[in-house]
Amino acid sequence: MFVLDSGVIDRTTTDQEFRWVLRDLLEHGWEPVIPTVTLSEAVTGRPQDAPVNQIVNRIGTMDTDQATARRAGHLRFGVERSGARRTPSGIDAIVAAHAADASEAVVFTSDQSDLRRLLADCHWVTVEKP
Amino acid sequence: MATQKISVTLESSAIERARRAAGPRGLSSYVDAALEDKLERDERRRVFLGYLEELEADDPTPDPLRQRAGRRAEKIRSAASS
Repeated sequence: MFVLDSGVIDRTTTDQEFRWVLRDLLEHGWEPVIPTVTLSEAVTGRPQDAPVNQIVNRIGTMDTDQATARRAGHLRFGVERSGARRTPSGIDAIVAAHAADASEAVVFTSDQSDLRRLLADCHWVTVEKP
Repeated sequence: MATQKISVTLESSAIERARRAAGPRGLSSYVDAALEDKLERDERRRVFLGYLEELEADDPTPDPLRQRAGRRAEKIRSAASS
């Protein structure tokens, strides 16, 4: 599974190299996931949303069920407990939890540090920039 | 909905786990839902690939970028499986 965080959804349309990375993963059977909650950061209601809308209208988004939301809470608390100066946002934690639910996953994000902290114990998930 | 009885070969341990997870609703119903889910996910993957191909037709990626992307994707795949 590959999970697209809010800041990178539009890059699937605009970034040629990233497109080919995703293409390779799709051809190897990896499933694309856009957690629904990321739309709260990815869209503005303006025409500039077009690149995000193009992809979301095609593949849809994945809603977060209670089990995944609880996992997000655990991951977020794990970072807090580790003494980090800044606690990642709830949205980042939900993105991380969707990836952690899979048996193998990568999260593409523009904010690698928070996602890496959230997923520090999930060795089956990697965090990458687009 | 029309149903059909078929014979498939599955891993014994997976069958046992599915039987336990299915509980009173039964193995057939459980496997049916899992298959439906998998078909949906594969369809989403197919649609995404089609979209990327459309973009590529309008805005072809230079070879060096494609090769670099291939290396990055391979690294991601091997990191996830290790």
